[in-house]
Amino acid sequence: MRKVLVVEDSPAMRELIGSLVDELGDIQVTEAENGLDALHLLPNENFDLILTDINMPNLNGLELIAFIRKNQNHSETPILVVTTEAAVADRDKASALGATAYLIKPFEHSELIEKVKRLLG
Amino acid sequence: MSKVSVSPEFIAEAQEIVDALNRDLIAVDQETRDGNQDVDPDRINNLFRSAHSLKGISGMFGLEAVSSLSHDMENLLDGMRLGKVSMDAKVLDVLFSCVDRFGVLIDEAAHGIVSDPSGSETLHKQLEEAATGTSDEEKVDLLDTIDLDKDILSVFTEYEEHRLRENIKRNKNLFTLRASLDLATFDEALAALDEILQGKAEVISKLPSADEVEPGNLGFDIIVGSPLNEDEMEKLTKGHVLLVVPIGCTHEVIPPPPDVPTANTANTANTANTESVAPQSGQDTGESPAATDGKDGGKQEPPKSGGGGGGGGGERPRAVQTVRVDIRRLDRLMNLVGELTLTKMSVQGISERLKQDFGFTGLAVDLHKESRIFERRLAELQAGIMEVRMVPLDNLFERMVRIGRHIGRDLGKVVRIEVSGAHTELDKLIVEDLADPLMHLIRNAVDHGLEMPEQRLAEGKPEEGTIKLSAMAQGNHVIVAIADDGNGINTERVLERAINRNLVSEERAEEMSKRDIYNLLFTPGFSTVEQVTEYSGRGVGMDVVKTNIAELSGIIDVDSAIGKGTTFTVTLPITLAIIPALVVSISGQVYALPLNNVLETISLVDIVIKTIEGREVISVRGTTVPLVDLREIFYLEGTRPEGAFCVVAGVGENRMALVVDELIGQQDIVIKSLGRRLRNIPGIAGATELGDQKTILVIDMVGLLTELTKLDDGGDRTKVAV
Repeated sequence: MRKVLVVEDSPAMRELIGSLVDELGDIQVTEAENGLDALHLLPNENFDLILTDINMPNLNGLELIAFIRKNQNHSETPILVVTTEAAVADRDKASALGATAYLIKPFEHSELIEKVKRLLG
Repeated sequence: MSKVSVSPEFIAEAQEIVDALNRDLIAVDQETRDGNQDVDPDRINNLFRSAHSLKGISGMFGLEAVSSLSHDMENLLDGMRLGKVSMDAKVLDVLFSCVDRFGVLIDEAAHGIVSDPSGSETLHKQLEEAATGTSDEEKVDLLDTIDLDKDILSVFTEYEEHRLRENIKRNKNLFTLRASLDLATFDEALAALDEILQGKAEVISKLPSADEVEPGNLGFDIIVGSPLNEDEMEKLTKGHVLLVVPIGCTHEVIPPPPDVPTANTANTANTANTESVAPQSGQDTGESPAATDGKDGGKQEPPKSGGGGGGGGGERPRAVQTVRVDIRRLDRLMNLVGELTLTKMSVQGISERLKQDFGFTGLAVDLHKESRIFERRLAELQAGIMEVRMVPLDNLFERMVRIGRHIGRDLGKVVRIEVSGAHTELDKLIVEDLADPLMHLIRNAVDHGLEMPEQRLAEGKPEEGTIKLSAMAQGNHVIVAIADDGNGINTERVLERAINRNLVSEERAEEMSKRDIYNLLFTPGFSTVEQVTEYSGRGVGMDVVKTNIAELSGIIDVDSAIGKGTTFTVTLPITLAIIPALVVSISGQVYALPLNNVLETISLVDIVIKTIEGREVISVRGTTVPLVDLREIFYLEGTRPEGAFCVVAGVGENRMALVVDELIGQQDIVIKSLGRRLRNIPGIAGATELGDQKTILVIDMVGLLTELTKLDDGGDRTKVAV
């Protein structure tokens, strides 16, 4: 059973992403409302994939990515940034910090599933 | 226009966002009217984030009209929060019109109508016009003038960079506050720090650091801008942060003239556009037509739709009338009801005394009457709050259906899941905690319960296996059942396995009833399937299920018939917030026993008490139940009186009969914690107050039974000091 963390501040979006990932089967989806929420989980859990938004209250996605990369448990964990097309500069930064892939909202359900499958290997 | 069905969650969230936009716009409107040159940056950022979220979810849920309008709105607000565009009355008016339009579009969506974006063309144009105040940031990047680690800058969002520049421009002192916060409680610590800094410094960014400052802690670098100097900042944050490190300025920065709002300095190259949108002073704002309109309309109301929105006008209909409430607020209300219940009982006590001392006349009658009314209203209030906490099981059940199908597909089984009673309601907190155990039970049913299609056909059963997931309300309980039509539980194989694994002795096995054998399924480390599959795990499932359900004061039962199938029945209380309890006395001490776990009470007078292996047992409806005397466990003085009673309690499959001297009565109680130091006393769940302002202990039936069951598994009774 693989573990996927979904960090997203919009409940409807979180539920949607969570259920899409869940559909893949054999995956335990953990949800976090924002970066700070995710910090609670990271030190004690090993995730196989982390999906995160960038624009969130209380610790944005960039800060979270930087933290994940500095953390021994997760220095290699793939990170899929799921965000809107705005803030190109922020996306470039996410890339520089070590995000693995992007998905632009709104996305087709199949796109997300494909990317998640690919990142989980 | 087209007809679609949009999820109610989306509608509720979209409506919440629109309400937030409306609230923040009203506040900004107020600020600009008050003549503030600078609108609170947080507020603009909130507006931006709201538009951003609305765009995100509406795009996902196929509402193109909302997503394209929020996209343009987001653009404008992005420019604004990055200091490229200014907020003025005209722009505000456009934003308010957008909010009106959103209201209409979302309401339509709630009724299944999806409009295309062409209906909002005028608004799109206005938003675009307003956003063209944009110009590039200044040539010399102020960020180059400060001595801040490039690594830190690399995690700043564009907005955070902008706030940093603004602070430099305003000659604020910049500091890195280094804090070391406990992993478990850093949220609260950060919130406390925010509060201290409120009004004295702007928090630009909070950066967690991967290096542990102290073991078990997480390091945070908090970047702030403030008019305070280093000493003042140290004094202010003393006890909250480890270090205050000033971030030096490498160049002289010329402060802007005091009257000119700094946000507009970037716009000087683009004079024509800037003049039309930027409020240079409070007077300007006052002269603009929208602001004049607003004055007539009263300060609290947003301006009515400017006519550009198309379709708005009049009262904006509400899409969904829901409010999301933190469940802790409901807990507080419930606590108050609990306390009022105590007051009610005191009043009734006084009424009773009045009746006895002075006879049932005059004031005593009035008081009695009023206290009855009080009692009824209080019961209604309690029921009302309970109702708010209740949610139907349908969402959870839908998830289970999805999971069940999925597992079936992966295991090559054809599974049909029939759901009934999904509208049954339970306390939200219980529903949340029920998800995990229910998932295990579904997995278990698909994996262990149902046979492979070939085998089913060979047995003359339909190829498709059926799992019935049902819920029904029964008094203060809800019964959730998971029934499969698989091969049933083979008791011989269960016993064999248990003996092989040393979970039970051969002698003991011989005298075990069917129920006892089923009970073995819940023993840690038990698994009857040779091959460990990825879905059923390593036999961790069922004992965890039992524990989880017991934590909800629930009971799980199994029934099975070979060849016909297995049914797991989970009985749960509808809430844990306020519970009915049985008040009893033992050796002169009064205790409350939560009724959730009480099955029946029996007078010991005519009961035969037998002794098996040195332990007292009684026979209750054909089952042997151990008799437990709390006098022994709690080291109470005194002996069992003649005419004592016993309270038969059950948790999961386990039963016990607690000896009590006297049954005092039944009462609703709110369990209060005994505080940090006494929190973990085995056998005690907490304390509660009775009406006469007496505090009594509440027995933790689940904990007590669990401790006693451990004894059954070979432990020595005297070793367990409860």
